[in-house]
Amino acid sequence: MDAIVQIIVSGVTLGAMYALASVGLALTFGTMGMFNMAHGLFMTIGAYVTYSAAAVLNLPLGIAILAGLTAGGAVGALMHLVIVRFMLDREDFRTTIMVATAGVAILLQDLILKYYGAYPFRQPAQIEGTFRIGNVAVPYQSLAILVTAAVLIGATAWLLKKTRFGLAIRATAMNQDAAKLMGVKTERTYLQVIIIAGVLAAAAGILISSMASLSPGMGTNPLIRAFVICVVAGLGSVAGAGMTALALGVMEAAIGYYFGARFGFPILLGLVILVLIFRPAGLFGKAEVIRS
Amino acid sequence: MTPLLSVRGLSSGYRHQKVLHGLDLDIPIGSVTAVIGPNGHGKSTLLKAIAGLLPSWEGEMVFDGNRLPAGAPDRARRGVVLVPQGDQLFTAMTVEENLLMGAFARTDTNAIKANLDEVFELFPRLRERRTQRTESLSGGERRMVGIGRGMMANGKLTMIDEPSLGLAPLIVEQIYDALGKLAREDRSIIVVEENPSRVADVASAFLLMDGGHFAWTGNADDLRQSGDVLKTYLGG
Repeated sequence: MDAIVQIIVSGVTLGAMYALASVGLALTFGTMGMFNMAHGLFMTIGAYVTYSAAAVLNLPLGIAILAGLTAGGAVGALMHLVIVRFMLDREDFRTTIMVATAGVAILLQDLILKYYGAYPFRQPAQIEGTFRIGNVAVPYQSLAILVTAAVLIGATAWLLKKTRFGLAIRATAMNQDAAKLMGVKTERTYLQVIIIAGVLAAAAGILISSMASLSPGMGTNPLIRAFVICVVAGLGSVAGAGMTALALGVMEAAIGYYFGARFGFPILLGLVILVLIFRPAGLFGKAEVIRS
Repeated sequence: MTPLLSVRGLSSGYRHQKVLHGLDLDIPIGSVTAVIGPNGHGKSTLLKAIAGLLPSWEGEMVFDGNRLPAGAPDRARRGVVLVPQGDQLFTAMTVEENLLMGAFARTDTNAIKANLDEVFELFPRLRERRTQRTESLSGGERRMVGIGRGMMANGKLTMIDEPSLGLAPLIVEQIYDALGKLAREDRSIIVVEENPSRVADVASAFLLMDGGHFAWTGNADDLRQSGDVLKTYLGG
């Protein structure tokens, strides 16, 4: 019984972080057909800015987190305004944008390495202490991660489903030209989507660094996992990504508990291969994005 | 009377391929204009260029007294509406959501509701299917959603690309009935059709397009008298 509680607690915590990391990636892909290789660096930047604001500038934690989230959104906006928007009309956008954003990722990672060095830092955005479920000690930090992820993902879902702003995003995702004909300013929609993705990524980065530590390469692993989740869920399916993330988190925790943590990731990758062979459109696969 | 839309010297095309070669065109207020001619000669390109989906390479367009801004979203907000070929519906949305997307740029909530009722009045089939996703509809029903969505924009100029393409005759009749009702005193319509016989009763002006030029223009009487000229183009 304790084993199961343990697995669920750590699995759901992992899953919540993965979900937060994946939703933004799925959203940008679903809306504009852009696989953002710099998404992992948005996480890293969110984590480092929060660290700097709290540990170096001694700002209150709330402000530090807000600064981290803002930085994630700002880097996303900057990348869109300087690079992405000039590439949108290219026929081979889907391929070239991966190369371009990979370049941005390398650049940003090296800048962080140069400025902060390679030493891992401890993220000050933490809640100390534990409480018990049966014999299992649950860190308050896990609970905070779960609540934060749920609130942010819930807010994103609400935004997409219930607001006029979300309607514009969904219309653009389904058919760019038709959305334009309805008066949706799709270029602005793209910018907004990248900002949202940047903020969500930064939040994921802050949470991930609170469980591990800060390092310039900290975004790589979550980006690969987010990618795995998006492929398994079906690229572009936002709700599917959230559910898949939770399932994979619990699965990884169970594998880690029974076989050892080193098996978790390889099995995850094996799963992607199986999904790609048998369900290429993903478990929640939906119609292709139309960008003409 | 000043025309609703006045186009002078319009050239446009796709990437490096020029399709429209310096077109002049006037659309009077409250008229139905038919652009006819064989496929692949620039009829759809003309509509896309007016709607702003394609950039103008040369030329000028004045609409309702002002120069048209660049880009489809701003033109849509001015009242230039295109019902594109292949409908281009939002497939994962319901019929009603698609129709309401047509009114995206509008804020007059009550008039939008009245418009929605009008569309349902015109196409009762759509009322039955209002909560269905459009991906599950038949071709004719999709066409109705496409046209209905265009009507929901309540534009001053509505352009419809091949309203009858691939549809059963009965549905074509319904759709042309709808077009007739759509043309009112202050509303103008441009309709693209390969064959003029379908639009002959509805349209007041005809433009025959060939190789990116207007090869022939005239009214309904001219059309009847110029049967031979048209046959060479339309292979009738």
